[in-house]
Amino acid sequence: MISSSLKNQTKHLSFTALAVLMAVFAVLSANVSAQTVEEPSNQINAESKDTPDFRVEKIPVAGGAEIITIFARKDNFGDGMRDGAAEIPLLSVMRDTLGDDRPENDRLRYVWVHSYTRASFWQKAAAFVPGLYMRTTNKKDIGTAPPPHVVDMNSNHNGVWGQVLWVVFKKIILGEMGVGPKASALQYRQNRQDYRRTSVAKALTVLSLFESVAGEKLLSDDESKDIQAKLWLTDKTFGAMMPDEELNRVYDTEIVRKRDSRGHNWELLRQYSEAQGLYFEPMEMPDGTARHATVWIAAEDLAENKGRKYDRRFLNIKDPWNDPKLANWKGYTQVKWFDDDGRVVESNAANAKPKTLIPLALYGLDNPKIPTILVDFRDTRNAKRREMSKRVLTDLSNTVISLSPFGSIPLFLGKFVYDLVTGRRGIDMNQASRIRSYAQLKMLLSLDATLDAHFRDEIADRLEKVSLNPLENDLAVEADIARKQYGNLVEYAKKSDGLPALIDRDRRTEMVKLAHSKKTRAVFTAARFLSFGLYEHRETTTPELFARLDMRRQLNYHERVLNEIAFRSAKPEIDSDISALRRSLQFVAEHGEAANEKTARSLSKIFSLTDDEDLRLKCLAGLFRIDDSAAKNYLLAIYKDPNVAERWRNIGANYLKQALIDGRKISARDAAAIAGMTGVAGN
Amino acid sequence: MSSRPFLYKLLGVLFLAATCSAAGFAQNVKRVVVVKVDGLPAYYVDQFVKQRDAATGKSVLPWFDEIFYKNGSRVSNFYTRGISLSAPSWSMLDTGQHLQIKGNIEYDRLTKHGYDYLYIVPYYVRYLFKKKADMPAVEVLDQLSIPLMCDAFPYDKRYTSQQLYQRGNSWENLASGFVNLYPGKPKDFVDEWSIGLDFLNITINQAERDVVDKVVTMPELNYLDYFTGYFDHVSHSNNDTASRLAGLKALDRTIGRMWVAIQSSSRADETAMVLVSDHGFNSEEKVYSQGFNLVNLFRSAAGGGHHVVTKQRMMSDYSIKAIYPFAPIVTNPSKESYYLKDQSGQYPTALVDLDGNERASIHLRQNDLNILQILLQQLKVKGLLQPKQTAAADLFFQIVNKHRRGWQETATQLSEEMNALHRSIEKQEKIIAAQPDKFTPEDYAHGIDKEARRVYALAELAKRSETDYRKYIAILNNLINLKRETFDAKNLKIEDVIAPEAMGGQNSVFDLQNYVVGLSPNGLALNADQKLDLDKSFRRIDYLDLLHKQKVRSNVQAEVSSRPVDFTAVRIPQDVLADALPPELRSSEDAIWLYGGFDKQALILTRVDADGGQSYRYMPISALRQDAGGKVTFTKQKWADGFPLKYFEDKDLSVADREAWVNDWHGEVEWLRATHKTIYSNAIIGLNEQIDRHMLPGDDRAAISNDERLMRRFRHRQRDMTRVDMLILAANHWNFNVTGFNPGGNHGSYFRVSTNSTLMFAGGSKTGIPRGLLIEEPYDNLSFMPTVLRLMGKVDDQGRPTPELQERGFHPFPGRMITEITKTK
Repeated sequence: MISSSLKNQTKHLSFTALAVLMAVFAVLSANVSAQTVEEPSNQINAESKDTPDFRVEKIPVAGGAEIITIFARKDNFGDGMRDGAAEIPLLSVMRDTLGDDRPENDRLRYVWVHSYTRASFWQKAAAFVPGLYMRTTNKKDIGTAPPPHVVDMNSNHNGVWGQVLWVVFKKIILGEMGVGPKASALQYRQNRQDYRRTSVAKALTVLSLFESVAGEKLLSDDESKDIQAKLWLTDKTFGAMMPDEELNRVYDTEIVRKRDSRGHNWELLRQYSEAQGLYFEPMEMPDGTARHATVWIAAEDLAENKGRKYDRRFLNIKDPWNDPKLANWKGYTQVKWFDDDGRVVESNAANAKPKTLIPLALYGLDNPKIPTILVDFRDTRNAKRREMSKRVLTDLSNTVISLSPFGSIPLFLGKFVYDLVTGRRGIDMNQASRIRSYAQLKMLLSLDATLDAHFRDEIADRLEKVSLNPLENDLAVEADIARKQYGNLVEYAKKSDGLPALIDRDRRTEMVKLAHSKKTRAVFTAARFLSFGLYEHRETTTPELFARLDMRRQLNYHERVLNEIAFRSAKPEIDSDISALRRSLQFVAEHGEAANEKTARSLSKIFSLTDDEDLRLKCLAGLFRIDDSAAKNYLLAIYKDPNVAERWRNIGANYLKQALIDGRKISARDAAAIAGMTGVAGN
Repeated sequence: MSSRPFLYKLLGVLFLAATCSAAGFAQNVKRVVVVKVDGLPAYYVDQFVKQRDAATGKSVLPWFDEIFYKNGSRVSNFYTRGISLSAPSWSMLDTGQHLQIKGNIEYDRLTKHGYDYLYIVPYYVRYLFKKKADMPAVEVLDQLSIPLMCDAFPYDKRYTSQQLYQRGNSWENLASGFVNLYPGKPKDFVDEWSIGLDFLNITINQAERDVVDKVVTMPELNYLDYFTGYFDHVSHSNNDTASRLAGLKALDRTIGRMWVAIQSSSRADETAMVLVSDHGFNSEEKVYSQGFNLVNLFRSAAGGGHHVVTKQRMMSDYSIKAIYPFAPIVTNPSKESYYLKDQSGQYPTALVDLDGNERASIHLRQNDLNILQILLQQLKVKGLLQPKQTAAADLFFQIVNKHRRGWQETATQLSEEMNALHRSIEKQEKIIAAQPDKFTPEDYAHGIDKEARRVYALAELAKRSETDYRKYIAILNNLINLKRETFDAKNLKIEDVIAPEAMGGQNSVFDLQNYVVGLSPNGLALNADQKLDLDKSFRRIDYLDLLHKQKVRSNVQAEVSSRPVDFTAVRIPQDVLADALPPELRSSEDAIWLYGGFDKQALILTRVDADGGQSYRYMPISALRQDAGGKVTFTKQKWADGFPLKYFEDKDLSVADREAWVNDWHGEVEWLRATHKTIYSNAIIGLNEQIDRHMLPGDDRAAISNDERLMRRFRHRQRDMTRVDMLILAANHWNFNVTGFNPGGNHGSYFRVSTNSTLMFAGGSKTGIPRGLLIEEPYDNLSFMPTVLRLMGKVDDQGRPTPELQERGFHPFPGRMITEITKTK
């Protein structure tokens, strides 16, 4: 009895807590602050750069920021834009410049994908329904609210803390609520994550296309790469914690991985289509890369191949040779002319022979291991079943069975074997990356002018039926959503209580680090954690703090330069941008008190790598300037190293003694060593 | 006991020492660091060294620029001989001797033994259990008494990294590699984890750390090498510049760190750094390399329904079974076999090596063995009419009698060789028995433990060889001993007379053009004279024609032909071809026939010149055929477009009068200079290197014991048994990979993009290596080792090794010295 009563009480409490939390989330989602620094002008002076495929526009934001927007141009993408408008705003990035022209203190902050919007009430409601793996309705009224961003480039820990909070919430509260509420909450969260993931994929696609454009751009290639790296990292548990200096490596690693998968899938699909007597056709994006491919069958081949053996492995569509549906195909077809070498040629080319091609399936090529079927032209549910397979399994194990693989050895082993077999064999029942392919395909449908309009409609219609996510909007309205959301963003940027206020609030959050010690910040963090994010401490902007923020950002910039050079350089004089290095060292030597341990390590390394006297002097000066015990420890190590010339050891010794006198941070052990230093001539 | 041999040896050594000192050994380089990079084309490096980084204003590859372009010498036209494939190419680079290892895997035709030279994981496991000392390729070279470059240095004076030709293993490298995956700080580890821990390059990264450390801390080392296959790996998968440049930049930083370490070492002045690659790479941005499945072709009814042996499982990247790494070779059964259904385990009839992927080497079972087996099967069939029985038995013995003498000779000689091998094993076992159970630290420091393990491993290999060959001899003897008068096919077990898993001798051109793959649909047919009608009784395939006619249906890349096969190369023994050639073209050397279609064929003729060098002649022909009696006929053609190697239409053929030039004999250097810039570069030399049989160093040694002679003959036989029937070359941007996909690019062909590799030198002030020198004279990879050893004073300017090296088993090097580097003081 007691236990039952307790359980009821817990349940009641849990529901209350859930209600409270939902309210909290609702409040948090309307994350607009009313605080402002200055009254922005309503005039927007846009700067624009045009390329054949894109138009890039930069508009200033009051308070010292700018929004850079990439538009797809109609001229090139032609009737890909179905509503006949001149261009589609694809993606915007906000760069916080602190109101000056100095690039060192610029921060890329928010990335908006304009087709990514807040769900409507009915979309949200549908997203809560367990087992509802379909799109329901479009968002009809975009309203005037600014669009939600897909990534905050400056967020370091929110992702991790969010996940920690979620796990705690799931275990403590959802676990007690029974299958229904738990399934609902999990369903909603998964839908939301997947919806965001599709937008991340779209952003990545836009940026990679944009990167292939040559010439001067308002968003540099380095910035574009940083954004792409950050976007890739959104899928990694600790991705948000990745320091900026590693973003280049993240980008390089990912680009190799992605292109590897794409090439393998291209070739796999070509070979298997060829082996089964089918026709493979890659679908190229505007940058010339093929991320999707269609497999066709020639109507003329059907009769003579009747009874032919068919191997469906990797193609994952049913036998076309013995399918009566194809013999009486009423759907979309295309006539193409082929020459003797099997190449598609113009109808008037020599020896051109026509073939009536029937589309069988469309595949995404950007997935690990195997191409993923996105559209089966004979069986729309085929792709959907595959799309659902992973979701259903995950949802069932999380809710109905309520088992964690880590809590059950048989389940763990079963999952291990299942993952091994499906992964190794390349069975596409398990592709989390399918979402990305869908997003890319939607982009392709929007942008590819070479696609036959009827064929595009065929694909689009089927694609919408495959979607599992009630939060998604269909292709037909996305362009409109994008345009309206972009308009809202521009309006938001103009309002004094809009984007300028958000920028100000972000800066005041950034200032906390400058104004408070680690301990105090830990208290603020705990308060934020315990209040579920309701409380977040921010500083009041003062000219002094603003100046410190400027310096801090510049320091971050220079730290990144130094850390990158220290990581990859064998000798900076030979392999690095020496003037940039000199500038960064100079900055740290003059203003580097707050630089971190990693930077100190980098200075020590650069000191050992370079023979340049000036650089070495600056390294030592920097180590002196950095107010961190590790910096002094590195300085002491240089002093103690017998392989280092006496002159440098002397300089190091003097810096160390001075640091001791100045009362800089030095470990007790190092302080004792410095105090006892002998045998080094003073300068 | 006579002291004469000793006296002769002493005099010989003194004479050589005198010769060497007179020749003036250049002894400027005292220590060498060799950076071995798999699959790095020189033209690709050059392209990026010359490209400026917009941010720094420096080269995109600043260290290549600094070390080799500004402060060193580079050979811009450096080529691989043989095929552009790792195991063969590294064998020439690492030994300086002609090609003995001709694929990443080779098969013994008599025993189906697979020499898998890339057998890395099993090697490590067997090394762990002290069953192996060296990688398989090194074991083969040891059997052939061909030392590696590192053998020129005492064990304690060298450091070698993990590589194909790996002598001994260092667990320290692997263990440290794992440990160093942890960067030292938890936060950094989390970041590395998020980026993806670099397991693939564990040993490569550790080798870099080792070299960087040891050049400073271990000045006693005179030879250090570092091997990386990362660029090759990336280029197979990715054809985009971003991916490949990322790999190149990583390599650039590596050589930078090594160079800086060398410069900070006490021996910087006398240290040379040499960067060498084994082959180039055929990879082009925006063009995917397309795969064509030769294994499926040979397994299909149209291809003969062969059970096909390959190195790895088809689609092994997608196979559960392929996780098991200890299967050196795999049989891919055919469901469409005409006469060997469900007998794939016993009777595979094709051995296929596809590695490198722009080429494939094919062994087919000797055609007559197929006929014998079909006849035996038919003779066992109840109800076969008596005239057909008689005719079939007659044909059976006609074939046996045709081969009887040759088979008898093989059986007898092999038996002699097995007896010698057995005696050799007994000797080795005595040595093994005398070995200590434990080794002292001193022993470890001098590699004595590895020597002991090496003896054991080679003895085990020898035992296996003896078992396999004796099994083959026994069955061959059964076949030879069959007599017409006592012949009773019905009571004969086929596997007792037709050796399972054996391919037998090589096929002739006639065999390949008339290859029997099964009984004809109507069964055995008789002539009017009651003999078997060979044309009507059997299904036959002309493989040259079949391969040439392969074509794909759907062709989506403008740059890629719809025909995956460029041409097929087949060796024709000189005695077979002699009658078909005018007297002035006859030679003591075998010819190579290139088949690019019925009317587009060529012969590459080879002759040995008075100076011992080789000359080649290219002869465009058509319609080459061999009849059943062995007579070869062909039609000589006027040189024109479209013949194999396409030199005629190549604007980069560097000769004044093309037609006159091609209608004459030219030495190797002349060919190299004339053709190296063409699309097929040094293919004439490369094909000859690949297909010709080469003497073993020391073959001319007179004073050897009978057992030594027999063992040498046996080793020659083993190499002969790896010779293939056909070498198939892929068309541009085609590959024959079946284990997975290589869309990024491939190598293995004779295309210049695939053969042009990297060779660069740089050194300290005392080394005499020229600075800023671009060598445009073409060289090939036989030049590498003598040049490096010459720089170190270990060979003379004729490539003859010093007495010290001779003691270590080195022989004169046949390659041309790169005198632009060695002659400079």
